[in-house]
Amino acid sequence: MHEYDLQIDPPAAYLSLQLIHPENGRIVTFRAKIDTGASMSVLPRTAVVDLGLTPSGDIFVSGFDRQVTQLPLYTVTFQIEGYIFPSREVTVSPRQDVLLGRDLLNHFILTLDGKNRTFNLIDP
Amino acid sequence: MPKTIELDETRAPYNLNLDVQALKQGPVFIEQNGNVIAVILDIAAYQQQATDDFDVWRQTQLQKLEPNRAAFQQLLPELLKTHSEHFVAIYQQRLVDADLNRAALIERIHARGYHFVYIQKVVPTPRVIELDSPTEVWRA
Repeated sequence: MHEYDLQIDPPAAYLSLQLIHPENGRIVTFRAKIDTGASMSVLPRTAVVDLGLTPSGDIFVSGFDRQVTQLPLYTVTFQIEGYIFPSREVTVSPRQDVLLGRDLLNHFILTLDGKNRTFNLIDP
Repeated sequence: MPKTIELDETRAPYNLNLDVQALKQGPVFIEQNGNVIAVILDIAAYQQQATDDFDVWRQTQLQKLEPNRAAFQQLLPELLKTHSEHFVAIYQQRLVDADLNRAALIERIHARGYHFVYIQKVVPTPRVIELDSPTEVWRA
């Protein structure tokens, strides 16, 4: 059981995860925001730089304002709640934390309890 | 117009008298003993600077994909006939591998020691993904 981050207004579901370079195995830990509105997970630029990732493709991203931007794609391995997701395709944005999108969330049962400010992410 | 505030306290924590409205007219530089040690920006200016900086970096990253990306675009009409819906790997401007499973393709590419490989899905129009959540919401 995880607790929402109450420092955020309104409180939001965050957890820690590991990002692993798929070739050299370098590991960094980042905070990740649960984002069911994101079809692909997103790394902060600092994660790309810290891991030394090189772009492997590109994609167009449509934001909430329907502005479309071309962004680079990277390949990274995720470790979330003890589960490994190897060589996943991700993009990047100027944010401080990871956005955990449906590409990864859909591997879990996600339960959000807004009233109690807790959430669960399990793979039974 | 930028403004400078001199810190004259001798120990931390410092207290600053700061006119928040003045921030909208430009950055405020904090000096100590004649040296600039910090700068305070209006949040909109900070956001714009961060966006501009990211945009330059983004373009640099995308540039690393050339000329393999250009090669993919040239090969695309033929790839749509032979490798539709596959992920393909373009290395040194040539198609070197393909797979319906991107992770499997990546594993083989890494095993061969290829670097700066362009990997893309063969579809008629460029992929567009949705990132609907705003990064941050600022209350007026």
